[in-house]
Amino acid sequence: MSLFGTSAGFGTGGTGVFGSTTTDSHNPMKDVEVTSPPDDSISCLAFSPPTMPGNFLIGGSWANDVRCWEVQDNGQTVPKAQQMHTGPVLDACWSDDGSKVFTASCDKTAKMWDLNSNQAMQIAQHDGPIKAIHWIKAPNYSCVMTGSWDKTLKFWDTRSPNPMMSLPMPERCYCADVVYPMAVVATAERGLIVYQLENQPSEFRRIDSPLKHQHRCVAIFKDKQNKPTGFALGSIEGRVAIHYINPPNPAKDNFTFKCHRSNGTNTTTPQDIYAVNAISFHPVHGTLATVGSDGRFSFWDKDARTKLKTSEQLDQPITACCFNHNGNIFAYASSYDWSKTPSFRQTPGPIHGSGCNVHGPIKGAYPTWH
Amino acid sequence: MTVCSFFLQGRCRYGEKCWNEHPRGGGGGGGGGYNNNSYSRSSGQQQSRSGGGGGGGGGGGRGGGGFGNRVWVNPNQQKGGYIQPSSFSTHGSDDWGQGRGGNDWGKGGGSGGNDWGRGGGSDWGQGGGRRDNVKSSEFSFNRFSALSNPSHFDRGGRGGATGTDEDDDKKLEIVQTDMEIWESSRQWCFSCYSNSKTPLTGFTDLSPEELRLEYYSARASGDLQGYINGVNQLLNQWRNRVQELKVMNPATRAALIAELNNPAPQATSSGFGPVTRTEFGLPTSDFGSKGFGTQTPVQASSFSFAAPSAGFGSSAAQSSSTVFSTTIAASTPPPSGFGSSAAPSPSTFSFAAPAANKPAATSAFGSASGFSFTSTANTGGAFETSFGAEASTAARSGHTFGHTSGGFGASGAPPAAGAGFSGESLDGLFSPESKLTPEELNQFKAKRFTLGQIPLKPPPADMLV
Repeated sequence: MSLFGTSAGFGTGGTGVFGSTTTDSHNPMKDVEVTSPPDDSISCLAFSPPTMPGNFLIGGSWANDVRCWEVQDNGQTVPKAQQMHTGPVLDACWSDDGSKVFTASCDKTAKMWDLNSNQAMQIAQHDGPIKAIHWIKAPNYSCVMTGSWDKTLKFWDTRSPNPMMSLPMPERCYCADVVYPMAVVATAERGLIVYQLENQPSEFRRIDSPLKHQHRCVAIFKDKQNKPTGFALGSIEGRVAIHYINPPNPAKDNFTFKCHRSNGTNTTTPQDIYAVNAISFHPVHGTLATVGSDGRFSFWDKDARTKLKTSEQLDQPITACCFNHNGNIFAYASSYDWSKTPSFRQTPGPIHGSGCNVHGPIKGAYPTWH
Repeated sequence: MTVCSFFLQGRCRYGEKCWNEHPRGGGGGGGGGYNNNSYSRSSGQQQSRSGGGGGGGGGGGRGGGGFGNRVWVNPNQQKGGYIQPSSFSTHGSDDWGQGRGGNDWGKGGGSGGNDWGRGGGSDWGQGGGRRDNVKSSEFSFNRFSALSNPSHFDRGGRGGATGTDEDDDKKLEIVQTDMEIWESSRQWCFSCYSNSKTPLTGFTDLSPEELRLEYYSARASGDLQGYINGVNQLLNQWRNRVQELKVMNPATRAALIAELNNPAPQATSSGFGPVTRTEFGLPTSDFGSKGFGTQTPVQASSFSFAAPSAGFGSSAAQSSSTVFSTTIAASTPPPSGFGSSAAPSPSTFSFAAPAANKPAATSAFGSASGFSFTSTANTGGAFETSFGAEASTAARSGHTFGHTSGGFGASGAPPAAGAGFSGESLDGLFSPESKLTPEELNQFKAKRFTLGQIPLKPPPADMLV
């Protein structure tokens, strides 16, 4: 994205009102900017699975579209295709073979987008906007899991208009993650439900939230045997909880940490606290990235309980992030995210367009700036 | 393996990668030790915490010692980039919240007392921030100094060992502090809040996406004003509730303690007890602190149905306005929690038919003057008797009932209410004056109830107008 484009559009001086300042802070890390970003905020990002050669990035947006870019080895991005919903797209995911993309929208439907034929067809229907969508690949079945604000979690085999299964939830689904054989859904009112997916999906356990405020993002992490063992849960209160499902010592192993907060410099100014908008685990090293409404992304090592580094601050919140399959590339989207409550804004409404940057290459467990 | 002597001193640079052994046994004790160590390098203020914090540190002990000292040895750090291992090594334990050591604050973390995340956040952004700077700045602006008094941590560490009263005090203190932070930090308002298992009543959980979608649909339908009103409405509710919890007058206090000690079960089923409390918790706060004249119909309707569970969507779905009605289509039918809770006395509340209810509520709220407490006292009292078990929620619920039923009274509900209670003995409906304390009597005589002193008994029969 480049909201005000190159300085050519504005003023002859080159240092016009918009030119230098915006470009400085909307991409302070000088990361590669994805070409042709959507016209409104990006809500989700996902990289293609390892089964696919190359790296393809999909991003869903509040402009009702889902776009697909190829990220080339030199970091350049090439827009490939796009599909439309009739409402904002809230989540998207890939099938395990990379041939299809599933998208979830506020129009209460989910679609399956066949990338080979570039055709999209509806595969799911809810009574409310669908907030989360995930592909489940089990030995004996595969399906698409959708979580909605209609307080249900549904499983679809993509061929039938009726769900294979529909599980009620106590509240609206706010976020979910799936790493077979585990799924975790975080809902409104601090609900937290873990599902097991073997044989067929079933509720495994409800967990008391380790956080005090609204859940916002969740990501499952694996143990050394590559089995899902717990999850990281982010809230609007600039805090992430690391929670193991069956920890040997819950009191010690589970913990929370603060992030995405302003660095106040004196006691008189209260600290600003921002929402954690997304969490993504590095596929190889198991470190995690968090992105926040403060316009920063951070990398953390949950085992060492250390922060590895934090980015410069962007001029807009970061709304989504993801690693590619081998963890060499980190993509993040900067867009307006409605996180500033209306009282702090004069006029409610859009908005600054959106942007998506590709950050990389990432070397080793600890990404380096280039 | 040799035990690492640097580790024992709490300053091994290699952490888990160290070739020597880093004993972890003893957990809490060790943790405490390390914490002390790192605290002692910080500042006097923190030092004062460390004594009591040792217990809490048990949870985070690992982080404090073993991990806190871990250093990421990266060539880049020489260039003064972003990596500041040293700052981790000094306060690693603080940057990260405590484990869920069974203590409220550690678990929720919000008021965890350790505000190091902020410092942690700061040092990376600055790029050039040197260790000493970082450290001093971090430690110097701990604005939660209220929280750093040892007793606070004491409680966390000791868990259930403390007396109940003291425990309540602490809980309330935490709530108060959290509210202050919430208000000043400009974080997302429309969130539930809890420092224990169940959410505190009176907050609406609404994600930014839900609100945004409302905006988009409002924009599409050309009714942006409706959106703005709705948001402002929510915002006011939030502000009032935060204010209420922050100030914590005796009434709030009593209600809160009751709530904390008997957490409401998750929605539905249980008839009128806790559910009622949650439904009406929200109205209370608003009534307490502002007039009625200005309230819009939208507000009124959301009042009457403001169940935290589905609050916003469901309330709006019943109002005629389009605001927010699309958010949660599923809750368009009367929220189930509500339906079942109203069941015990459908005739009284007539919530079974929300449509009928709405105008009543609206009119009542719309006209502030129509709010006479004399008639209220009647129905209010009646409610008290029929749901006597609810008395534990103290003034608050009684108060709220009073208001609500006042609303119905104004719109001609009294006959219905009367019918609802006709089967009951008069003894249950009214209290003889002799059985009331002078304070209660005064309350009934006064034009308005005083918040916090609303009698839990029914009013005397002859005081009804």
